[in-house]
Amino acid sequence: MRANPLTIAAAAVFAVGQLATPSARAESFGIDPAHTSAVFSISHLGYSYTYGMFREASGTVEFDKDDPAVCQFQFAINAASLDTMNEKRDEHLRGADFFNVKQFPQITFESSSVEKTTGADGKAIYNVTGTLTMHGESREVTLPMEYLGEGSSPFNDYRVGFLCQTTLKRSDFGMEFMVGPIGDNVGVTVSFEAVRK
Amino acid sequence: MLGPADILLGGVLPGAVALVVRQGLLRAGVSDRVVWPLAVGVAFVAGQAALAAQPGATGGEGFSAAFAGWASALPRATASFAWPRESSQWLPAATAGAAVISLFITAGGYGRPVGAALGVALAVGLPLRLLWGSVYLTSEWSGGEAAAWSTGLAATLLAVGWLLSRPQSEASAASDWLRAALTAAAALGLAIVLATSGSLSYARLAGIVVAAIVGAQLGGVGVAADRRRGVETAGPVLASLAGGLLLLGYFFAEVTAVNTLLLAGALAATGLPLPKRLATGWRPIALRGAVCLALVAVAAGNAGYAFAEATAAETSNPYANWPAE
Repeated sequence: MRANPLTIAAAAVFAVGQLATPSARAESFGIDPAHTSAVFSISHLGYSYTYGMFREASGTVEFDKDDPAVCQFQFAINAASLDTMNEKRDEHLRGADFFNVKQFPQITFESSSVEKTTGADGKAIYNVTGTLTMHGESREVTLPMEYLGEGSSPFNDYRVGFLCQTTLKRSDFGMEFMVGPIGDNVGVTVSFEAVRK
Repeated sequence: MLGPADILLGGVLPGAVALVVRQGLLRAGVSDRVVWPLAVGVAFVAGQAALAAQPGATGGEGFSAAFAGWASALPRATASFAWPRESSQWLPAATAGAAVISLFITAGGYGRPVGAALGVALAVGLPLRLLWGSVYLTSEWSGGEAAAWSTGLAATLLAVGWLLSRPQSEASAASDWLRAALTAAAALGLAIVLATSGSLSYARLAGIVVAAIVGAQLGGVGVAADRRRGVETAGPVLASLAGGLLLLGYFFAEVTAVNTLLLAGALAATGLPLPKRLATGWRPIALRGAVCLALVAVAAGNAGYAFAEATAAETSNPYANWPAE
């Protein structure tokens, strides 16, 4: 039997469509703000580290444990929600010398590719490359997301959890005021649970 | 915290640039109506670029390594003004536009209405450009509120610019010096208020404006009086810089509405029109000086008091022992 050219074309289009849709097999998750922590640490005069956190974050995850190619990570942090447990310092950090939150209200990350590796302790690590936009400056970064697990929760839903620990240079994002007395390298720890939609 | 490097790069350097540019161009026979805006504008851009390159100096040990790091960061810092990311990086472009307006306004003839029309365009465009992409225009204001704010800000900028540019009928060598000193005092007040209201980076930019005025004024020393004009020749440039910084301080730092208005009033007071009976002898400069300095003192006092009160209220204050430089 001779195949109809139209049938072949339709099959080809369908096949290409399957390949081009990364979330075809991935499951969609929404980040649970109540179980999300975005913590940063920065050197002060070289004598101590000051810790702070962002209280408001949101985002979505497309995830398939066995197929990193279809995974996608997207999150947004409200820059004005930063908290270092000192109101005067927080005002200064929100102001024009640092985050300038009135001008740049959001910190966002949008993944473009994901690779899966295995850590020294055998845990799965997803190296998520994407665009981090902070203080109006967009940079490509790779965030190592340690897969902490997934499963049903006591809240009658299904969750997946990650931990990311990395270091960023604030000067890469145009935040150059007082580099020296206040460190340039910022330790970042983000851990979150995401709930299956 | 402002250190010696800030004073050198944001004070001494732009002051020297303004001095050299004005002195050199006046001696070359260039008219002061071109020289004043050019000297202030070039000095401001030089100072802002020098400060922006400052983090490059932290890369190595010793003065020569710090200087080499700073010098290598300078081209990138200057180039950032061509592709601004932060609102304050638009100030050099605003300065260039305002300098062109200065030239038209002081040219006389048809130049004056052309300059006025361009001045209106800059007064409308500058606040919108500085606030573009911020929470004010993207979420906080409705369309009507944005239009009302834009109109009010443009009208205020125009009024301040007109008064800063207004030539005085009683002008003399002494009044030229006093007017420059008053304009510098208003800019210094702006720097103090910005520093105590949460933005040292904007305060440093206001410091450059002070240095540029002082340097340009000193640059006229030793040049024949008939070649010289006063600081009002750079009025549009100063209105863009000081007005732009006031706007940034109010919307992006914590400068209060009262202090913003007081400082705008202080800048405007340097060119305050006076009734004819008061416009003779020492009276005009004394009156303008009294109004300008009183407004600056109240604004700086307000901001300083609020800063002291806020720091005293903190049980654990990370700024408590900052050296008062």
